[in-house]
Amino acid sequence: MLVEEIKKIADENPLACFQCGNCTGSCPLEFAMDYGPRKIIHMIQIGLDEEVLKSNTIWLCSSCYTCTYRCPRKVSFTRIAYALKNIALKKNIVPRNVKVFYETFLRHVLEYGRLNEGIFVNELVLKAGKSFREVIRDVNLGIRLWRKGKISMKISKIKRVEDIKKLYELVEGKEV
Amino acid sequence: MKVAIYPGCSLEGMENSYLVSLINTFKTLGIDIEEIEDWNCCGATAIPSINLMFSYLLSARVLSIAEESGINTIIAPCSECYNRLAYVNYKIRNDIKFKEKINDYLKNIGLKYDGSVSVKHPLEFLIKDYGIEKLKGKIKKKIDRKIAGYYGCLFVRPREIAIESAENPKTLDEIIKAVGGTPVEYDYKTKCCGASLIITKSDAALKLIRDILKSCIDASAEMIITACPLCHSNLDMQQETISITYREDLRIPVLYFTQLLGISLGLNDEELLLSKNLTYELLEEVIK
Repeated sequence: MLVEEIKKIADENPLACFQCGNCTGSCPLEFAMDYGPRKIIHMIQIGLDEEVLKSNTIWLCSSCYTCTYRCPRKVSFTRIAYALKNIALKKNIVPRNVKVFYETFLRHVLEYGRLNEGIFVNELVLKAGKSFREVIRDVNLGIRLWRKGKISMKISKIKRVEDIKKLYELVEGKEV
Repeated sequence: MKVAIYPGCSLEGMENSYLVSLINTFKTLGIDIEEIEDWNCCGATAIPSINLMFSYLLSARVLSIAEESGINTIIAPCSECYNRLAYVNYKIRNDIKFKEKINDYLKNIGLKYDGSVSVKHPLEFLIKDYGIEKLKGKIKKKIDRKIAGYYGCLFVRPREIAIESAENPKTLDEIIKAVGGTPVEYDYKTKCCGASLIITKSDAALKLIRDILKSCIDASAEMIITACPLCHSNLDMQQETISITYREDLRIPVLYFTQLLGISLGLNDEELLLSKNLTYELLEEVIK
């Protein structure tokens, strides 16, 4: 059940929500979502787990915390969305470009302990399966950034990167 | 005065101008900055999406290293880093079970964290710790322009870590007034810019950025100042794409609050890297 998993991962209780809709009214990305935050929480409450995990809502939450700030029941949809992302990624219910984004980010953190933005952005453009229009848009912007000297291919790596790998090994498969 | 800094990946990467302008501005104000040793990525929004506990541990490792080095206060200029570090710090200080769990994990890499470090956004540090009146006394050049302070999300929300009200924030406006400018009132001060959705859901993010730019311009702002590398890159870099997509001219100079402050302190481009902003040419027209 999602309710229990959310409690375990994010220490949030969707059952505390009384459906006032402050979250949906405040959400800047609601216009692009299948279901707004209030509906998603309701769907979790009545056990529509599969529909929740398949909705585009969880990938559209930008983590702005406006819903969290205004919730009268102290429920954080932002943190619920994080838990849902954890679960959906584990079950591999995720759009390809989003998956590539997270996997590439994780690889940087595990390999260097940091995100090397120049290399990261290049990898994404190549691997994310973007549309022709998007690639043209990215390349156009990329050229302008390159001219400004904003894109560096220099690698920054921490000394004790084994710390990071160790922590990930310990939580992987246990906390989600 | 001395303070430790957690620069974060973005300030080491594409948004290096924020770091350079911050260090030089602070130095001019008499604040020395030292970097935390062997700091790692905070995880931003990506790592908590993969494994929430792993993201908490990334922040906890940084806090632990800081505590071990005897550091009292860390400034985190990136709002995302500030948000992650400050929230984990808050949880550790207020939830004993959480603290125990974090320390159980940290033990495996020879670290522990007791909760003694405070995490601050540089805006809070400048206004409260350094003092806005003292800051005003250092201003050499008045910038008498209408300026929009764009706050974004992550140092005003959630409540546990907010440096001020998310519904009516004032810190950037204080900075604008300090340099002799007029802060403009507009509706989108703390509306989200979409952050990394510009990569994964670009059409949705472009709409958010477009609305913010339009709101600032409609309120007759002549420039926008930011305090976060994600906000900054979205507002600064996407103006051309937005002009093409929405067929409207929404060009306006965007700069970091540290760059604005630096100009008024008499610093040069080498010290502020203003020319790295994609909207730099527009700024030249406004401040000449």
